[in-house]
Formats: sequence, structure tokens, C-alpha cells
Amino acid sequence: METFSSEKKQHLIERIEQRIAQGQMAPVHTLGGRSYTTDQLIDEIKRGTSAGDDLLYQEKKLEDELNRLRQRG
Amino acid sequence: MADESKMMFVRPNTCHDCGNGFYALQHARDYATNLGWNALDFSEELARQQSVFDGLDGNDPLFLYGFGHGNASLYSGQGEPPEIIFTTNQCDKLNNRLIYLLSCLTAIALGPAIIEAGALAYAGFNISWSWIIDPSNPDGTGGDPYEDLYAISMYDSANELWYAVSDGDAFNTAVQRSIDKYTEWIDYWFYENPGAPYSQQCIGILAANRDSLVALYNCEGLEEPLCHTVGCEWTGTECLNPPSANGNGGIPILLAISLITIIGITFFAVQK
Repeated sequence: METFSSEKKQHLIERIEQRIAQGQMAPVHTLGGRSYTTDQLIDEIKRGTSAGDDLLYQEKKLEDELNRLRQRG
Repeated sequence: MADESKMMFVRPNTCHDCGNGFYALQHARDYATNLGWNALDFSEELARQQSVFDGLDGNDPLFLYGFGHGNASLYSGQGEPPEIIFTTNQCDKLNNRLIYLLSCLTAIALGPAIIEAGALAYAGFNISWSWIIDPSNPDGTGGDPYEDLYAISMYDSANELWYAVSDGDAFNTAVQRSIDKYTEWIDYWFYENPGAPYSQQCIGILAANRDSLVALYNCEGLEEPLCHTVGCEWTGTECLNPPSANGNGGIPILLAISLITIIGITFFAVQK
């Protein structure tokens, strides 16, 4: 999995917080047996847990996909 | 050789948040049954280690599709906490079979151990496979994800691999069909339903799930018909791993790096 610079990580966290504030983040369920409420999402990321890393990875993937789709038009 | 007409489905329902996956695999089981497959349904209390081991010994299915919680080195089934079914040290019963585990992280160590134990092919994930449901869905994670606006996109993408196997596609083709289905659903959220509150979250999760799908193959020594079933490359005399083996093109990348290095050294020597 990708590792992110502190600047990139901060950017991704801000995007997640923004979408939480806009009511655009639902609780996440995983087949690792854990579920995360929106408050827990941010907490996991800030504590640097593997679950937090997964959430950052999802956010980075979202960014990549939106770039791909916007370029396609 | 294992029985090519049989598929085993392992689908617990009492582990944490397992209702969605339990019903998702019911769709995959029904799809296979409707196509005439002998679908062995190891669900609920049968989704425990001894039952699954006995089922493998007694039925010898060529194919196994398992859903449940997992980590790098294990896959689990029924119960809370869930009962462990396969571990890196206990997966010998999967030899000579094609395995798909819809579970977290098993591609890191369990998948390679399954191949090492003699399985013909394995597909699984190297991150925590994730999904969301509509928070207003009264069934929560206990219901059929195909009836949830959001969860259907994740589970349908995952199931596509098994729909393809049931259609008779080679395993590597089935893996690609699943990857393509994730992308189709990403496009759906971007082009057709961008106004749904969690559409962007779905795109991120679908892309992460898609890009963490890993396929491993064990083609050496296979005879021609089975070589094609697995999706290996039949040269006319022997069976080789497919070019995209390991799901990440690792071998082609290494070859490309080697070639570039050789060309670079040659160019440098000629210049001197």
C-alpha cells in the first residue's frame, strides 16, 4: 500500500473531514471484522492505525479515479 | 483430480456484520445452481472448520468461494468471535482447487500459503475489503446488499468473479471481469448517480477494493484442459503461469527492468 508524505496525508484528511461535514461519509464496514463511524474514521487516521491507512488509501484512490474520469470528460 | 462439476460456497452469517456477505454469496450460489453447477452450500453453522474440512474431503470440489473475516494469515467463518477455518499452517485441504476468498488481507500471507500448499489458483485481497450501506437501511449489515443502494456496488463487483467462473470462464478471465465490474460501478457513481450522498465514498472504496485484488496461480505440470480452466498459458507441450500472474504484472515488470538495464549498459559500453 502507498505511504504518503505528511503534506499529502494532511490534504487527504482535510478532504475526508470536509465530506464528513457535508454529510457525505457513511460508516465503513470491513471484512477484517471492524466498522467505523465517521468520528472513528478520523480518529483512526490521526492515530496512524492500519485502519486509518486503509481509509487514506481509499481517499487517494477516490482522487485518482476522479482525475481519470474528469480527463475522460 | 478434484470434481469439476462442484463448487463449495462458505458463507457465515453470525460473525460481525456478516449478513450482507451471507446474502451476497447466496446470489452467487443461485447463479451457479441455475447454470447447472453442483453448488455445495456451507452456510450458517456449516461454515465452521470441521464441516468445511469434511465437505472438502467428502465432495472434493474443484472450486471454493469463501466469504468471511480474515487477516494476513487466516480466513474465518461462523461465530462471534469467528471460528478460524484456514490458516497459513492449515490450508492443505485446498490443494488442487481454485479458491476465491472475499475477506480482508488474505493475499498477504494466506494466499501464497494456499498456493504453496498446492492450490491451482487463488484470488483475494491485500487490504481490508470494505463496503458501506445506506445508513437509513433498516436491515443494516444484516440484509441483502443487493437491496441496498450503496452496498450492491461493492458486493456485485466482488461476486462478478464467481459469476464468470460459473459461466465457464478461465480463472484469470474471471479476475479481470471482477476488476472491470468494479470500474463499471465507479463509472455508475460518477456519471449516473453523482447526486447520491455517498457516491464519492463509493468510488474510493470500489477503487481500493479493485486495486487490492490479487490473483496467484500454480500452473506447473497441469494437463491441457485444466491448464485452460485455471487460465494458465498452454504452449502445446507445457502449462505456464499467465503473463499477468500475481495480479500485478510482477514478472513483466522485472523483465522490463532487466531489459532496460541491459540496453543501458550496452549503450554505455558502445559510447565508451
